[in-house]
Amino acid sequence: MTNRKKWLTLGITVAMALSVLSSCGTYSDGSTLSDSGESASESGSSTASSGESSEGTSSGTGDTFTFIATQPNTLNMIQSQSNLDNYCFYLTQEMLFRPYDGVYTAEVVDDWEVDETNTVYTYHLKETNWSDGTPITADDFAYYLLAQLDPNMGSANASTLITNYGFLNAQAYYNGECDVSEVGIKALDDYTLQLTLEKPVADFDGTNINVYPLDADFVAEQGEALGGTPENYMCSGPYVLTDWTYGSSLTYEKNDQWLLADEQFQVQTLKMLEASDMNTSVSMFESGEVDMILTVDNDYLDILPEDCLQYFPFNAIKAVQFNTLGQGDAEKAALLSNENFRYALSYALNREAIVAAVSPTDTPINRYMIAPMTGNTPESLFEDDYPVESVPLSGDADQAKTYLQAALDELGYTSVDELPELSYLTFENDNYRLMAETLVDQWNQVLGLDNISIELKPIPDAIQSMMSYQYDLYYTSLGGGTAPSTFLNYWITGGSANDVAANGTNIFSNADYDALVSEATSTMDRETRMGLYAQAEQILIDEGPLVMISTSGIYSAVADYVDGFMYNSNDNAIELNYLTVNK
Amino acid sequence: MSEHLLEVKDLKVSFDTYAGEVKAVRGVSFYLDGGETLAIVGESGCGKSVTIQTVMRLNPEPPARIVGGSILYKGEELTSKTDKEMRSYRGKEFSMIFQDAMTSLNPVVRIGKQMCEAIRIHEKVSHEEAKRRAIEMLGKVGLSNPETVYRRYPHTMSGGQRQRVMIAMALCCHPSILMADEPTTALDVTTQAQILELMQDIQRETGCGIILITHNLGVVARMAERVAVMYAGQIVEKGKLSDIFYHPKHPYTWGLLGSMPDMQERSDSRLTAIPGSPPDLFAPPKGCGFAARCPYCMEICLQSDPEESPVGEGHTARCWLLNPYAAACRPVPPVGRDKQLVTPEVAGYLERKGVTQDGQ
Amino acid sequence: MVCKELIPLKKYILQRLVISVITLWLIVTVCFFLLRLLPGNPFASTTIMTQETLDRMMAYYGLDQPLWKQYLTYMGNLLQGNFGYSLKYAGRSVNYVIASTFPVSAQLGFQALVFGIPVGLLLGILAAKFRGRAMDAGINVFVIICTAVPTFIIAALLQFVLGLKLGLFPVAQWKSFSYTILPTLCLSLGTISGYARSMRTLMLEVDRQDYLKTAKAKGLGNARIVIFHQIRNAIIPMITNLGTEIAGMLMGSYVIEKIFSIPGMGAYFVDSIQGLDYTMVMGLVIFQAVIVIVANFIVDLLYGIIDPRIRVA
Repeated sequence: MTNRKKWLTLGITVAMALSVLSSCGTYSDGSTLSDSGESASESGSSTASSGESSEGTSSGTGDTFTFIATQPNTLNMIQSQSNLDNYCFYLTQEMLFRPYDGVYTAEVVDDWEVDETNTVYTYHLKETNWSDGTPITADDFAYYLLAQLDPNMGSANASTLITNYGFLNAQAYYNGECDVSEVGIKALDDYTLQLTLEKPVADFDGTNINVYPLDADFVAEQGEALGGTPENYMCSGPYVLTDWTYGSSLTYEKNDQWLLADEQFQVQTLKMLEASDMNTSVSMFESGEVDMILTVDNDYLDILPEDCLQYFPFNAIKAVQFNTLGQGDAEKAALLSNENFRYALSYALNREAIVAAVSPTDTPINRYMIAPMTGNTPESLFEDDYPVESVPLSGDADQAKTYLQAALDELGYTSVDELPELSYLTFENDNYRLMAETLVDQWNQVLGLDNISIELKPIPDAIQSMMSYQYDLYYTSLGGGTAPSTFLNYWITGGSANDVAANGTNIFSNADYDALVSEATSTMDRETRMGLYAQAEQILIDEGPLVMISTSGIYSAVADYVDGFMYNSNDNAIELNYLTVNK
Repeated sequence: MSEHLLEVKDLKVSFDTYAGEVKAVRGVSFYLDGGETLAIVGESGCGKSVTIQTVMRLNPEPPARIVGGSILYKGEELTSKTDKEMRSYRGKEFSMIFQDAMTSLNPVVRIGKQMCEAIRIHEKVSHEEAKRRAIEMLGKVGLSNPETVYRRYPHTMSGGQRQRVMIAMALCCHPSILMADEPTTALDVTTQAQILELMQDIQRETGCGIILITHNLGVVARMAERVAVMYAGQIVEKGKLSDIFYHPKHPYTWGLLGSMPDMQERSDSRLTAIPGSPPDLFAPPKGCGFAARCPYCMEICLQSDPEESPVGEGHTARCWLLNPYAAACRPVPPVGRDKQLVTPEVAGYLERKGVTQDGQ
Repeated sequence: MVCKELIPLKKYILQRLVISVITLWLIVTVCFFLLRLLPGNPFASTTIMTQETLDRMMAYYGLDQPLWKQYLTYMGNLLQGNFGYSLKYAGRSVNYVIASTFPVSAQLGFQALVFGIPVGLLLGILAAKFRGRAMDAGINVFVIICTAVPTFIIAALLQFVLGLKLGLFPVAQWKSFSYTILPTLCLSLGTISGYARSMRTLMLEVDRQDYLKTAKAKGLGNARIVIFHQIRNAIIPMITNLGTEIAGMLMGSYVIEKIFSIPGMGAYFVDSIQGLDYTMVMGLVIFQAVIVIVANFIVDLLYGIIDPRIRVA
């Protein structure tokens, strides 16, 4: 009896001791030295009071930049779907052309030419290496694109690549109808890459494409583990990813091998800390532990000093989408496709007031082609070159009522009470719910509508419902892209936002619109093309199944000793190319 | 100076509760000599446990409070002692055996450990010595395999065995006074007899005084030399066995004797319960505590509490009926004088001890 | 003697093992199918994905197969100890996620328990011993505050006062022991208040037990009575929940880990179920189940040591 007791007690003590021991190694210093950092950890407590702020200041020479942003989902470049991942690719990979604030500049490309048909682009590459010193060849760049088109690689990016660039036989390859050798993405030799398009793509000027290198052998060797940790990821760019602690931090060390190492990305070490609780982030910013917060929540804009906030527009468009099919209910369909009803809802909204109150980091909109979309020249803004006729940003209540009356008359209702019940589908999330409540309330106040109810669903659930057309109104957010074609293409017949199920069920179909977009995307002359886009945009504004609300933007908090910080949502990158930390 | 081993004089104990002061013991006096057994009888809640626990100062203070009186042990006043000073008396000078040995032994501590603890708290002996003594004691109380018992847990033993353990534990430090609070109530009849026999043997051997709390008059007759009958926080009658069983003077004692079940004459059982219930001790009546239930209640009984009056040598009772004037206004009832209240079982015990009607 | 008692113990362990395996299998199976009943799919995100792409993705991950086939595949992998890869975070194996985040959460939880349980018990004991007095009232107020004020508020307050204003501890991150102090403190508040409250009640219950009177009658001092006789008995009922409690604490706290930027498991529990990351959810559920089962088993054995009445043998 006593024997057993001692035995058990011993066992439990050992187990506890072991767990203590094993847990000693859980700290993530985030630096490469973390494993040998026993003494550093030990001294951590004694220097806590004064030492922590010097954690940041240890970069007195400006060689460390610590910032808070959200971690990537994956570093698997084939399966990646998130701009968060691209932030990391941008910092750790070479590119054929590197965008900076919307402008692409040749990096690995030494020289390139396009044939007279505007379909064959030939790039001559510089000799470059992976961070481990092995050479990078044209095959690696080609493989990056081909792998995303490979139907067996689990990539979700094929359709975007096909729509935006239309590489020869890309669709057929993705459908499994032809061999990879027939696709218009080819390495002619180690340092020559050729891209062949099926037809000219006007918005593609030969440079505005993100191409990173990807080693096919490495991908094959890694299998499912690809991109899960720094060990399963190859770097070639300005920085080498040295540590990734899930949920905590990523550490990047400058790669002196990189082509432009002497000119750009001069900061030696980047530490990206996971954006967790905003209160914590702000505290860390205020205590000097971090130099930048990429995205500051609405609630904290007033707390932080104004001169440290920088605004960067985001190119996503937020709008209320109408299911003109009415979920098979003819009465609903008639109402939801009624132009005057949609105008009524649109004019009833004071977008300026709503956005200021509900989502202050957004900007209210009354059109789709908004800054920083460029217009007739790369320097001019589309919205300046082509004004549109649309609803005033502050709304127009009287006009809204007129439209509503017109709609009622057309549909044969005598009062709003007879309108069928509509459900407004949105995400089960505070921001989305608040927006929904505000919009529904305005419609009720201005138009007296009380037939719209809010339906909150978890994100995957809501998206599934949307994709199976089980909604009346849906609050959508669509990436605006770098060229007008991105957004306009969503709404052509068979477009990806229009015919979400890809089965011919469109919620919007307009032959003129389709023709304009189609013509524009193949018109090589920039000014003519922009003119056509503008016409298409006007049709979408007038007849599209959308009530646009706002475009988002982010406020970043940047410490005053940091210069040259840039974020560009079109480039999908945190651009630290010319960053200096002058502490 | 008292010549008795223990002398309690006019002890008053109250409990301070949220609802008010409970006057649990209201002026109790008794004494105990070495080698003798005093039985305190009375129904539940009459204050008998509180009384002896006060002697050991076991009641948590607060809420318990000694309001008045004195407790002299070997001539020393105990009521003014601090809790710390009392510790050297508890277990060493007085020991206590409780009613339910199951709940009175710590369920998660081995028997041996609980016993050694008691020894080593009072005597500076080695662990081995304490163990040797504990095992010897366990053997002495009639437990077979004392070495095994030493290492057992309470729950692995029967009620009788546990009570033997309790007694062994109580006797570890050879106390002068053993207090037993209904030690056999939770046991079956056979075991009861064995335990009582054990206590008698021990008394013979060690010469300790025993205060026995019980409501079993059979046990009283068997064990005690003297009896104190308690009711509502007071001793209403006390005296030698013969006084109480053959010449009871207090109506409550009559009732108590009358309500005792007769084991041998089951068919002709004279179980007469005392009607009513004891008074509320939050606000004790200003008269006699038993007045409300007393069939012989007089006007005076409701007005004033009777004094303790001697009715024989060492025999006292608190009752107005004993007042010389009472006889004048009301004849003393015949009960107790003519009627035989003692059951054959009790009579048997008394006879064996040589206690007769005529006193002794 | 030893042998005699070890044989039933071995048998008992074996029995528990069989029951545990069956329990685990049931959990895996029920969880697997329930998860698939949830509406939505792991690939739905805020970005638009066409049905065609979605179908491709489903096919790539084998989610287009009949459910029973997927189940068999999953069980096959599971038997080899392979939880598979996350559907949401490509390249992140569930095993790796658990291996890299569990030690962190476990350390935090362990520290919180090691700190919280004794402090909670002590407060409970003090409250019971000084029942009705200022000490009791003070502890009671503390317990109510700990229970009623949400953790994130307490955490933010501690961060502000101890971290930002006094500079005693770092505000967030997980780099050395000093970084663990604030989150440990926050996490342990729940444990402290829970244990303080239960311990007070249990101590008062035990207070009335006869064996304490016996102990006092033996002439023991107050301290010895409380420590040796009262606490040990009062603690017994608390052990019942200890297993689940330990397991829960080791699994990490979503809120605390988020607030203090701790790379623990907590976030995965919430994110994976929200994002319908099937493999991740399954892996975490199974892992947690194992931990709970093991913790309960250890606690049951412990129970026997502390309370001889329910010894297994």
